[in-house]
Parts: sequence; structure tokens; C-alpha cells
Amino acid sequence: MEILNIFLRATLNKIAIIEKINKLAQQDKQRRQDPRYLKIMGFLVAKGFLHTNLKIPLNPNAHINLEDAVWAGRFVEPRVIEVLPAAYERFKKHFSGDAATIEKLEQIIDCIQQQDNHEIDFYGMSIDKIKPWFFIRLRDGRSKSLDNRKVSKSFRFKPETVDILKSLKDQTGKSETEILESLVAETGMKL
Amino acid sequence: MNCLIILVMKKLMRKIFTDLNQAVELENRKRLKKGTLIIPKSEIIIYGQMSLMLNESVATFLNLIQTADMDAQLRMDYFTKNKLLELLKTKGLVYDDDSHLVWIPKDAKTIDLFQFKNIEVKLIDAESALVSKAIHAPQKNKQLIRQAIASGKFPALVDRIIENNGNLEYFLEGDIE
Repeated sequence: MEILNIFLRATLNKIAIIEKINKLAQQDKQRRQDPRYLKIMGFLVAKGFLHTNLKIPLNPNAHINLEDAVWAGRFVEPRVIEVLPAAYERFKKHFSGDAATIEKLEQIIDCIQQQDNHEIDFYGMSIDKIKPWFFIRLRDGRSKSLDNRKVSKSFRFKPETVDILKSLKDQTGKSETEILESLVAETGMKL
Repeated sequence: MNCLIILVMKKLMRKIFTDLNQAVELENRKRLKKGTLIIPKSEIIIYGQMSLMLNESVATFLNLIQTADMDAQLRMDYFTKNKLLELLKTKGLVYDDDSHLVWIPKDAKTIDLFQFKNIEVKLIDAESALVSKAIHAPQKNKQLIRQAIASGKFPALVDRIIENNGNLEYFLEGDIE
């Protein structure tokens, strides 16, 4: 009898939990219709940061409010939080928001650029989870990932060096940067 | 649900593994000429969100969102793995090096996805993928698990979560704004 009671209690408890889960699933469904969620998803999917089987209007040119994006990440889809710093770093012009969120994002970007293993998170998402998305190839194929981006550097050359560089440019059809890069690479190989 | 996306994803993965099979084939021909050992057949079992996305039977009723990473168990040699990583990268995807840490329930089954001469690609069954997520990554998959339970399409899901010491009550926590 005692065993039967325990079994019945467990079964009733399980049924009650499932009923509550069903109700929450309805609330989740409503949140997935929220314009804040649809807008950030339309942007992140269009850019290639996220993939989904949902019918979401793609919007690669959207202007995103960071607070709205964070809301979507915290209350609908945590993967938004995971890729948001990388999306912000690549497409800053598409985002605006309060100083605190921007500062937090800049800290994460600095941390990744400096390869700093400092313990830092973005709304509970660890930097280890956030980092890979700074280096992926995106759908547009144009925006460069952090590891492929050119760095600006200035040098002062002798006039004759500049003349030689220009003549090499005319002869080879390569840019001056390409010529210098290949010479540096060659020297690197020899060393 | 957008069934077209599922087909696009499947086509993308087919292309990656077709190219991988081809690369192994060419390498094996070279090795045969040299008289060295050829690369044995590789096996890939895809886990996680990607396994659900590639599984047409569930991708039509679950809302799936995934990052560009692929969790998978790889049984392959160094050459094949390197080539796979390279192919994934060209398509904007990343292999998750922590895949070996993914916990898979003991009674998980696999489903054949692609069969090539040198590569065999399988998916973990959907319910086991959901159990795995419910036990080891409940924060990231709270809504997905709730939707899966509410769908009634996985009759053993709740029991399997309980059997594997999952915290079912965690999925009752609403996200208060």
C-alpha cells in the first residue's frame, strides 16, 4: 500500500509538472512573436551568426537597440547573448544602446583582442562560449573576422625605396601592400 | 517552420561530407601509389542542435536556433579531421573541440544520415539529444525542452530526464522580466 502511495504521488507530481511546463511553453511561444526578438534574430540569421528553422524575416540592414537584443537573449534565446559581442564588433554601426552595455561589450572585445584569459562574462555567458564567433566566416563573405582583418601601420621609406616599390607595383600588377607582405613572408620563411 | 532551411542545411552538410570523402579518396590514391597505409573509413556522429536541425522528423515542429558550431564524435585520422575542419570553416561553421565532453544517454540510438565510400555520417536520435541537453545544458535549452515536452511527440522524454537525474523542476522556472 505504501509503495502504491509513493508511486501515485510521484505520478501526480509528474503530471502537475508537465501541465505547468505546457503553460510556460505557451508563454515562450508568445515571446517568440515579440518584435524585439524577431528583429535581432532577423539580423543575426541574415548575417550568418545564427541558423534557424523558424520563418523569420531576414533583415541584414536592421538597426539594433542593444537593450532589445539583450532582452531577447535573456528571455527568449540565450544564443543571442552568445553571439551578440561578435556581431557588435563586426557591425558596430548597426547597434546603439546605453553606455553600460557598450562598455561591457568593449571590455569583452578588448579581452579577446588581447588574448586575455581574464574571467569575464556577458549576462552569464562565459568568454569561452563567446570567443569563437569573432573568427567565423560570415554569409556576406565581405566582413573580415578578427584574425583576418588588416592592421594599419605606417613606415617612413627612403625616396628610392618608394620608387622601386612603385615600379614593382607597375610590373607585377600587385598592390604595394601585397608586394611588401610577400617580401616579409619570404624573409620569414628563410629565417 | 521553414522546411526550406532544413533542406538547405542538409544540402550544405552533404556538400561538406561529399568533399571530405573526395579528399580522402584522392589522398588514398596517392598513398596506394606510394605503397603506404591508406586512410580507414571514418565515422561521424553528430550531436546537439545540429543533429536536431538535420533530423527532418523533429525539425518540422521544434523551434531550433543554432550557432555555427557542430558537436560531433569523430572517429577519423589526423588528415581527415584537418580536412573536415577546413571544409567547415569555408562554410562558416566550426567544429566544437569540446565535443568529447558532451554527455550522451546510454540508450541513445543513431540514425544514418550520409553514406560515402570513406565517410559514414550519423545523427544521434532526437529524444536522446534532448535528454542530453536537459541534463547538461538546461539554461541554454530551457524553452526547447519545454516545447519538446509540450509537443507530446517525445513520450519518454520526461521519464528519461528523471532517470538520468535531471532536474525537471528547473524547467518550471519562468523567466521573470
